[in-house]
Amino acid sequence: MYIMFNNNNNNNTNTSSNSQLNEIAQRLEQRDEEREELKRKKKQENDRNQIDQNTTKSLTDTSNDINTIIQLSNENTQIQQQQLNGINESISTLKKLFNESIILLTQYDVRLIQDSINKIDSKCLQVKNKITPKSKFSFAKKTTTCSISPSPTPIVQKQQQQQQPTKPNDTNETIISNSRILNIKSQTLNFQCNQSSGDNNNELSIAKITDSTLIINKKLDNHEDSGKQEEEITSLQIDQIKNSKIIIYGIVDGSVFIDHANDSIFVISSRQIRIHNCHNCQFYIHTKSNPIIETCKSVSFAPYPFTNNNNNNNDTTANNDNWKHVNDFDWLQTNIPSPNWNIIDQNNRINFE
Amino acid sequence: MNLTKPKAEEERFKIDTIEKKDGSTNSTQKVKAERKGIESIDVVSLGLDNAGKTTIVKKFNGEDISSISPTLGFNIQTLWHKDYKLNIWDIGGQRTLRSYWRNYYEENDAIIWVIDSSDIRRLDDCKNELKTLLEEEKLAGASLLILANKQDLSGSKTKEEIADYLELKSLSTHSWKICSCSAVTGEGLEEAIDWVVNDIISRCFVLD
Repeated sequence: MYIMFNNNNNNNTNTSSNSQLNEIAQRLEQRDEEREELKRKKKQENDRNQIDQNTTKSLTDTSNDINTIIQLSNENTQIQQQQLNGINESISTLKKLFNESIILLTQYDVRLIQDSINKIDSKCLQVKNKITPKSKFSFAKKTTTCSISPSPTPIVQKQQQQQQPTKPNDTNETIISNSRILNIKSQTLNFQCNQSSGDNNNELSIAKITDSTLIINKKLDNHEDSGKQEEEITSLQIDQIKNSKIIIYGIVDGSVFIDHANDSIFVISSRQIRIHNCHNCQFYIHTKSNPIIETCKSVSFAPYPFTNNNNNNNDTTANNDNWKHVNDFDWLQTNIPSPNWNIIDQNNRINFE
Repeated sequence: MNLTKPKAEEERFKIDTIEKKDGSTNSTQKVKAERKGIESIDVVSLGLDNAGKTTIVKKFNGEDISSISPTLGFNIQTLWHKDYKLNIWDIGGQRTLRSYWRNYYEENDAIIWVIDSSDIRRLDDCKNELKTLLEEEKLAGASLLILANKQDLSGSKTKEEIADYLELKSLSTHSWKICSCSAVTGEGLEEAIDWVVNDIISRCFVLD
């Protein structure tokens, strides 16, 4: 009996001390784990902070630089266009830097920097508006049916002036091959595309056009002849356009790539449109996908003014509004619209014939 | 409104890079593990914008190619060729996106470098980008397929001309091949993908 009891007692103390030991061991383990966790976290944070500090520092440095430039330029009432360009450049480098390091930054920093970039941008715009008298397109008068009718815009006026003397030259195609239109200055050209039945030219590149108007007609009605489908233009490249107007009747059945254009107007319908390095341009477009812009400033968009009467019967995208869903590769924010492009007000759109 | 997409893409982009880092396996380990039947091959598709990267993948899969938007961020497409599953990381080629390319370099069995054969103006640009790409350590050992795309255009250069211009003959760091193709007609795509798969498989046997 006694032994039994003793045994029992022993057992009891054993189990209780065992459980206590277990508890302590568990607790120790837990504490160890917690410590490890803390250490790891700290290390991570340190690492991140280091990167953060580096990137934020460089970002703030650049933004400070820009600020000082802007202040300086504010004091100087006679600011040069060159200076402004310099500012613009440094802003774009700042943006680039920011975009590159966005992954490394904390949410708070991202917001802070975005705010400051926005401020700088708007400031810069203000300054720009102050020194350049209305660089934006504005068609104050409601234009009449004729596309080349005189309008108060300096650009269109210029074209108008140049159109008159060169009108007799309408058929001048000496520098024009079937696939290239190159080096045109102060001319108005009416270019009939895909007329030669001999070779299948399906691409077109237009480059180095200054102070000119190009009108390119594509045969629309022949589309249904199955044999002639090969003659569709499937690729259009446009490069180095200054103060010109490029109007294309008919669909480019492929991609359009516009690079380095200034103060120009484009009227294009295609599958895909990419716009790079353009300043102060207007785009009257129709696309089957969203157009994109990259390193562009003050570009504006409106719908394609002509109806494409070669609708494939099943083409439901004929009247889409992709033209206004512009993707800006330099602007990845959702809450604030990109300052680089805008939609042309209905009243200010040119009425093409 | 127009900006909802970029943001979403950007976020997807981040998440995916993280995921890829976490769920990573060394590519040689993977090869060993799947030696008996290599199931998936990871391929990254790069090149200048407007080269036709997305169009190539979509055409190969028989999808509609008439309404492809320029790629903001990236797409992942799965191709089946013979018995192999190819995961193709189709990365946007716009200049602003090129700095992100390096996030996709890890764990790839092959690189597809797509060239717009009619874009002579930017061939220099293309050459430089390819050069920096091939200097990347993470891509050492990956097969390199160069696609001279847009052969359907009348002014396109042949693959020989492009190979000469890019000085591919002196390229010894990667197992490479240049193929001409047209994403619009689909010509040449099958053969090109075939080479990629065969090249990777033959490498695995060597490892064996």
